[in-house]
Amino acid sequence: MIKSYKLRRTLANTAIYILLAILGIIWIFPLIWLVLHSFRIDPNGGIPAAEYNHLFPSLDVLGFDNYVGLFTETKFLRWFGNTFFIAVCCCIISTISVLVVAYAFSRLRFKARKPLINVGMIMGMFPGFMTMIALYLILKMMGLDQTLVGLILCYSAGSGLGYLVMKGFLDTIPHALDEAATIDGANKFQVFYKIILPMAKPMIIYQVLTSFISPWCDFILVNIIMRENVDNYTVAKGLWSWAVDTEYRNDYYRYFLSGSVVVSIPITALFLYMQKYYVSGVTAGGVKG
Amino acid sequence: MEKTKKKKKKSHSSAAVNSKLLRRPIKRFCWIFILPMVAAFCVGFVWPFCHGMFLSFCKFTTTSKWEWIGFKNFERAFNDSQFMYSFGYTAIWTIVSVILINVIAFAVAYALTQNIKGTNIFRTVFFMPNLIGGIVLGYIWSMIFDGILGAYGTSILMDTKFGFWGLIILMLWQQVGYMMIIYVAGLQAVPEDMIEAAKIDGASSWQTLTRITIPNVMPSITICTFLSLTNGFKLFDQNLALTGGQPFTIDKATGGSMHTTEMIALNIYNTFTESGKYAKGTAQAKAVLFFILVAAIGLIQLRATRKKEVQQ
Repeated sequence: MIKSYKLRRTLANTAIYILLAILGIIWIFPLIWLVLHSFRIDPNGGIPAAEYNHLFPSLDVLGFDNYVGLFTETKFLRWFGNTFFIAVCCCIISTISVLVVAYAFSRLRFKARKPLINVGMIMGMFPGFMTMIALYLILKMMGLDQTLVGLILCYSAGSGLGYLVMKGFLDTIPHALDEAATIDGANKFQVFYKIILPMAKPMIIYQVLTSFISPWCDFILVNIIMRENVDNYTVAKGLWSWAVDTEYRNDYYRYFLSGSVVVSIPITALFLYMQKYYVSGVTAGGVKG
Repeated sequence: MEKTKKKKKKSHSSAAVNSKLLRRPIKRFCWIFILPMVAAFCVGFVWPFCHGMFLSFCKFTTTSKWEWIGFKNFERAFNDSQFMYSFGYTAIWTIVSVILINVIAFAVAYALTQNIKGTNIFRTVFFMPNLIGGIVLGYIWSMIFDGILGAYGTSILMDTKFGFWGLIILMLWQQVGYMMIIYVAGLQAVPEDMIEAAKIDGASSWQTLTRITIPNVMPSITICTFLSLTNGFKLFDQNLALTGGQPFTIDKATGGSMHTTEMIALNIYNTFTESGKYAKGTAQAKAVLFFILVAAIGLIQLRATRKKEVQQ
């Protein structure tokens, strides 16, 4: 048994650091792998083979060809634009709908409130693909299949169900503030706009971030709605088609990794910039449940 | 005028939101707040939801050509050996992943809250994988696994065990960071004086952890278990991209092929794309069963762990 408290403390801290460092390396390894392999080219100027069984590429097969080709020879820019457009639209619509739903559940008292909260929670658990056939046919009926508008509708329609975290946060804003504003003559909209919105800023940013990120990651809905319409793909579906479709695989496979890197740049930058808010959002959701 | 109002408020402060003063404008505006969501919600969510429920009782190839066949689709789903296998596989996989994700995330969070430097860097590193889409991630990991296993002359598609543990590693890598952030917040909220009091009473650090810290972070444990459990059952993208259900074996009983790493969501998706005339109805029935299962697990689990929370 080690007697000295100080020594024990230092030993414990060193152990923690070593553990964290090992985990950190494991965690960052796939990202480094991804970046390294995205630079892999064929030194003879041809197309690099899809099958490459070395864990790390050697120096002589690295180059910028994949990135140059990604922007000049493929539909990547178009997909990137599509995804960006969808992400911005979804972001606006879902943030507004989450806000108003959360506000209603948090501040207003109406008869169906409790049942609606519970129904919303259960419906929120339901997997997206359960409705995919019905969804596709409804969109087709409305002439919205294979269009960006249809996709935006699908992404933002159910977004109000994500009210739970926001409601939890709004519940912590004291009602006294609402009352004070009301007494000072503010109407309901002014209370919402001038009191609640500024107070809920961290959560709103969290909401904006999550709803902005999800279209970049989603695959299954795009896959169902866009089918063969290559021009309207989002990046996730496009990259997937490069990696898997036999039609594209041989020619475009090399762009898959560089495309993945380019896609993750804006999201990562956004995340790093707004990390503080994002983390507070996750924790608020976690603590409140 | 204002003074009298204020006085009135004070006397009703506990039921302030229900006072007439606030209630009337609230009532009038309530539908405006709900309306935009309700409209999009109905077209994009409720309608497909109900339609999907309805179609699970029908034989159909397109929605205009349906025929009511009652519970036959559900019978067919229960008699599908691949579906039952996928269900069992998903259940085992989810149990293992829930335990591992939560234990590791808690351990990392506990380490990060021990007054060490560089917490922010570690937090960012661990959280990063959440920002990449599941389909791309799955594919990248399948290449990494093949790079490693290739050295031993095998591949992730050769053995069910590789597929199982590969998917576990992938999901650990992706989800530990998210859960860790929730645990860190929970751990930071544990009152310092409680821990001090325990130490003064002679509790060892293990006793402090199990008797003070863990009961106090029970809300975080609830939410994390709940999240990882439903994530496990809903898992689709990563499963499709990593193994796609391979390796396939021959089922001795029926002679059909068995997808040995196919999870329940992927099974439903594959049933949808089958060509038989009952396939779509069966897939719809499976999807409804699946939804009931996920919702039931979520609710039961939430209720069970809520009881253990410490009231502060």
